[in-house]
Amino acid sequence: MTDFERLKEQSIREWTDLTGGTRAVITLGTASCGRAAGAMAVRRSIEEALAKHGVEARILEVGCIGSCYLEPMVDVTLPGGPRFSYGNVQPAWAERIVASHFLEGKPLASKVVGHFGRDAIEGIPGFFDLPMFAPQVRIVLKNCGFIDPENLHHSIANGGYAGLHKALQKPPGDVISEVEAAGLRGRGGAGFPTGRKWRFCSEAEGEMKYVICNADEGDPGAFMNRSLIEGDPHAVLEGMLIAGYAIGASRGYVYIRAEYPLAIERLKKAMAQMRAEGLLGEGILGSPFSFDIGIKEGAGAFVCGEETALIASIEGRRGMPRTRPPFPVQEGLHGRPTVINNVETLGTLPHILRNGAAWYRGFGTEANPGTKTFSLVGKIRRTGLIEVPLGMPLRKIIFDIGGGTLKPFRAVQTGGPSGGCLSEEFLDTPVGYESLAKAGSIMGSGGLIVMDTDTCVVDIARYFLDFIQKESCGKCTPCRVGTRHMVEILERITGGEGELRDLDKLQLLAQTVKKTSLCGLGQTAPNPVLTTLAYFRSEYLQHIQERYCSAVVCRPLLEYFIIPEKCTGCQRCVAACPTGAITGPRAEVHNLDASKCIKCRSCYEICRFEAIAGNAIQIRSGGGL
Amino acid sequence: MKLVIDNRTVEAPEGTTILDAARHSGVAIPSLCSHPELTPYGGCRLCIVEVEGMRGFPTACTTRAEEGMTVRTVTAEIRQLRREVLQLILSEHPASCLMCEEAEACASFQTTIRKAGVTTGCRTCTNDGRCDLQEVVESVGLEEIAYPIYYRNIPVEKDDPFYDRDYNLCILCGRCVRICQEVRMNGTLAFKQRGRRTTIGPAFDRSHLEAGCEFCGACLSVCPTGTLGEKGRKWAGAPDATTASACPFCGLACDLQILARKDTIIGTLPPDTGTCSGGTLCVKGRFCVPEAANHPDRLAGPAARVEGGVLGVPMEEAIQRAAGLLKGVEGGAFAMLLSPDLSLEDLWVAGRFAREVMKSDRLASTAVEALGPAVGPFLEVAAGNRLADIGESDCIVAVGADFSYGFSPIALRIMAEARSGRRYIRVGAIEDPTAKLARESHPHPLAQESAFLEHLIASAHRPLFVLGPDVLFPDNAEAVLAAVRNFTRSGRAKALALLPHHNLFGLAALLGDTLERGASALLNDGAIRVLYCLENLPGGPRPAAVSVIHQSPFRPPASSADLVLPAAGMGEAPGTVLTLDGQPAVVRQAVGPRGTALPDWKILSAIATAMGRTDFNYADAGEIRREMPPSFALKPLRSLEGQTRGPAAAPPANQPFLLHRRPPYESFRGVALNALVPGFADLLPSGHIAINPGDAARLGTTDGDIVRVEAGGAAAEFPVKPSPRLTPGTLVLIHADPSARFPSNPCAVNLRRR
Repeated sequence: MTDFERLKEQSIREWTDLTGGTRAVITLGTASCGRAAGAMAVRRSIEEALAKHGVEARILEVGCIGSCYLEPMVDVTLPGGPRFSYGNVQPAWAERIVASHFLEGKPLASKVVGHFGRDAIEGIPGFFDLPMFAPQVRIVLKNCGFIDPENLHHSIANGGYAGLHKALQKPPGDVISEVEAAGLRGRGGAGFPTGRKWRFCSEAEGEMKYVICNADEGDPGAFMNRSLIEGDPHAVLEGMLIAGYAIGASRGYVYIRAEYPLAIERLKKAMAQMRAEGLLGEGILGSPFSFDIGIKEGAGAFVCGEETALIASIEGRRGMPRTRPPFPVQEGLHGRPTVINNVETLGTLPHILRNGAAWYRGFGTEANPGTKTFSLVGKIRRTGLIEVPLGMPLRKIIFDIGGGTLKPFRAVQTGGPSGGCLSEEFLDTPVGYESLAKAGSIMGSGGLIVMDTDTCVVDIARYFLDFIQKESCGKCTPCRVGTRHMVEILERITGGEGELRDLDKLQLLAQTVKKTSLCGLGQTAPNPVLTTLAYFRSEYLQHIQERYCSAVVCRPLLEYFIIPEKCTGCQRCVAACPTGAITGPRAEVHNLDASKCIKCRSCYEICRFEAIAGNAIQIRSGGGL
Repeated sequence: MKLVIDNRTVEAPEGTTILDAARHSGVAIPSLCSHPELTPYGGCRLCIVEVEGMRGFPTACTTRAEEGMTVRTVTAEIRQLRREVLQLILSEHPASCLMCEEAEACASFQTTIRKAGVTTGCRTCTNDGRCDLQEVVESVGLEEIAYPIYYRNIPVEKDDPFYDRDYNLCILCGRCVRICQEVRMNGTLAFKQRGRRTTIGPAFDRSHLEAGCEFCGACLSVCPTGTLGEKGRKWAGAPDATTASACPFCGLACDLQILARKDTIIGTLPPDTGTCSGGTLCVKGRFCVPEAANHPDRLAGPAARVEGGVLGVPMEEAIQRAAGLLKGVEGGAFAMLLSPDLSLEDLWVAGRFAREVMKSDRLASTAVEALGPAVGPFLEVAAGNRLADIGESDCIVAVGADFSYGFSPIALRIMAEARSGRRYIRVGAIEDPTAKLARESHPHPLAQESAFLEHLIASAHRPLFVLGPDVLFPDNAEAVLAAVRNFTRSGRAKALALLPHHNLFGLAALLGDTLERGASALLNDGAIRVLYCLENLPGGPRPAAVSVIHQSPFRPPASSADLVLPAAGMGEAPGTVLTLDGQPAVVRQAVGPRGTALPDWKILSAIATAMGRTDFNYADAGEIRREMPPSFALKPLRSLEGQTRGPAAAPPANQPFLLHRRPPYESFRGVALNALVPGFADLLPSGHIAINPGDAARLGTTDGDIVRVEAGGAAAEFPVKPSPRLTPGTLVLIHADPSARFPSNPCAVNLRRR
């Protein structure tokens, strides 16, 4: 029996002992999303409830299963029974959930959202049959939400390191061929074929080569990489080992932003366990292959996600991109051939090696095989982390998985600040590298921000550009200065001072920045502006010509007024107004002096929720009103 | 390798960039961030071109030229993009004058105020007319800026010596950062912040002095705008003459260009092409020449002491007066003080004058005496100096070498060697810029010098000792030098001694055998009737001699001279010096002597002639040179018999600091550089206790506070100067009288706040 088989056997024993139906297990999602929603408080109340009722259960902390909108999530599995899932659990529910399961022997019907049992259960849907999950295909996220991410054995029992074990039986060239055959493309956004990148690097001359895991996830609204590392760090680390073996590297780095403390902690624990089990260091799994990994924490610069800036940062220099070529596969870290792969790319590799290229090609499309994770956020009912086969239309993702928007759909932003805002007419676009690029956006690393009619796309373009402008490293002129001029023009437009010729200026600047910037950050920075100019030009024109913001977002274009018929004169708004713009005696219709109003929204909020009649204060846009 | 640029087939060597290939073939591509000495950067984006088979618009400066490449440097789209990019650059740079209709008239007639404190346009910029950005705007042909101007409104940084920094003008081309990091290997400059706030300077808002800046001025030399302005010649305008000459401030005699305007030295620059000293000047060569050359204490005409005061006299009369004073004075009644800053020609004539005219061999130099008793063995080691040894050794040990503000070319060679993996070890009290590349750093050895040095080079096959002037001043200097000399004699190691004076080698070679050691003794020697000083005497009581003749570019200390003869200053007379590897270096004349001043040899010749000699009628320096022997061998100053006094090994607990003392040996004609150049005094002030900033903070002292230094029974008070160059526990005192008040050097002392 090989080292790995022994390790696997031991792992399966441990896993079966936990999940084989002999123990009560309470599973708790404690990734960052769960913690932010209060998972740790829920854990305490569950422990109290267990103690109170004198029952025992193993509490298993797992990563995010994907339905972030349901966090905190608590799952209960009794010996022999299926696992029942509860969403948005409040600490106060803990006692009832525990009592219901442990004392009454049945789930708390009013709160349960789904079950993971093999057979149907009356009145409770299967968790993966829920509309959010039914269209998904979980490959990378397979273990997220199921295993204890801090337990190497859990990973191995669920297929972890089998891909590495298989890879080590083959010559490195065959491993590259396998990845090439699978057609895996870089999940960081650009979609460069991973196998080809490896081939270049393995053919580059040099004794010392490096593998870098790019975990500098910085797009606003994107959290795929964080969730994966928090939920299944071993998938990513195994991917690094496979990449290292394939290209002949002996050293790797995880470049991860310091704002991800939990992910960093879990990586460190995972690496310590790997080292203890011979999966890291000299002679991995008894093979001649040696590999070690270091963690480099980024100091909070968005541009460090760009690979040459990332390399500079690891080398201790200022995170500042340089021109390519030479590409990192030729001259990378410390001038040596280096492969930089995204977290998700690396996390996919073990599955490809384990199940084969043909299996992987069974998902997605010919040019875009496999699955892609997205963080689905914005004005959407079901936010969370999803994984879908490539080629799925945006409409299906947004309306079936995401449950659609509360107000009418307006736009979807793909690819973060480098991506574009797509309008309704693009909803049937299948998600793929080429199709999104053709629409003027990019796939990006997987942020999907959905907007409804409450979102002003001009303001969104301004927001993303402002983000880029502030994160520009300042090295090249167009990105540093050009984006700044663009932001100021957009600020003029959202500020009600735009002129028609500003649109031409914007277009010209956008083209200059796109064509002459040094790195991808600058080259893609104008995308939000270019796409909104193309698809939402009417909104720009409304802002400029009518001083009208249909989403009622751009403050200088708004006007507050009181509907006399509704106002009961309760004076709540008078008290709330910080500038004394609202006046009026009790029980008489109040007066709002627009010249004093700073549009702070205090009166609007208080009237909606606390005033006697309510909704007497309205906000409208458009100078003529 | 052949490629096609703008439909022309051009030849280019392998490995060049498109930009180089284009420029070599006469195709001009505008660019601002590229610089021949620096690695390609690709920041300004002006040199965008189109290359067949490549996506988008690669920058010519970062793209390697390849066989068969087809490049287009001017297309309608490139031209339009370039104009846009240039407008973006200018929108961050106050450049309204460029677009002004009256720009030309304004430049000619200066209808605007020039010496403005804040630069608002080209006409108020100190770099007007010498600005790469202006040239690029002209070549691109911009007529308007379609974008609003962003003024950063950053206060002009004026606190550091030698140059001001107005980052409102900065276009962030990064040349200064790259030359500081790549060529100077210093790293004081870096980019700070990001986005619109991106700027340049030392990290953490430190001053350049605190950040370890060497004030080499390399950043100024490459700045394409007026951001970095030399304080000394901000408003001097463009030079009208440039003379290739040699730096007068140490034995390296680095090549430099002297810039002059209206017959006045306004600045210096590194030479265009580089050998050892190319583009690698230290602060002295880069900034100190014009300030010293134009110092208020410069003499413009002769003066004589008369009854009731001092009288300016014409040169002819002064010569006659000198002849009169010297008449009848012969042999031991005449003594002459020479300067190691005099040229070989001056020294030759001075030597002849003393020996042949005055029949005296009483020659001495206070500047040489200030180097202490170890100067003899130091020069003996120096006789074997070969600069090429740096590249040929496998282990470099620098002893007493402070490369912060001097000997930069040597430091850069050493750092380049260290960076490529050569073993480099430092021994000394100062943390200089080479320290970060040193494998080991040690304090000066206090005992068992030979064994200590032996240990450092134990594993080396071809070790090289680089001895800096600071090796001369510890009490055991002679023991250290004896150890090094034994290594070199036995062939175990080579050595390179860094001579602190311009022509110390020449002085030793020409007159070393007759040079008296106790120069200061001559001041009190009652047997001397006339003391002829070619270097400034130290201040203090008047010498015992009946008459004192002072011949120097600088005013003598008050009331010490009976006759003052103005000599030509640096850059005012041609001559030759011997550099520290024994090679002659030519010093050229850049401007005429000030007032009625004359070259030193000319004054001495005139006096000799006035005294009836007919063999002092040299037409020019070249004639003197022809009279001299064709080559020079060093003559030992003194035999090697040093009494070594080793101080206690470790500082006792109640005296936790180790105080190193040294004289201000950076000097010219007997005047300390930190007295001549105020900026240099900021770097190496005399009479201050330099202290590690952490130590200073622990003592609760800041710059200028007075501290009491106690050693055994002795005590003295000095102001403190925190300096990042000092390691904790180390103090350095630059003081004209190094033996003063403390029992030993280095000396364990205690420090207290007064």
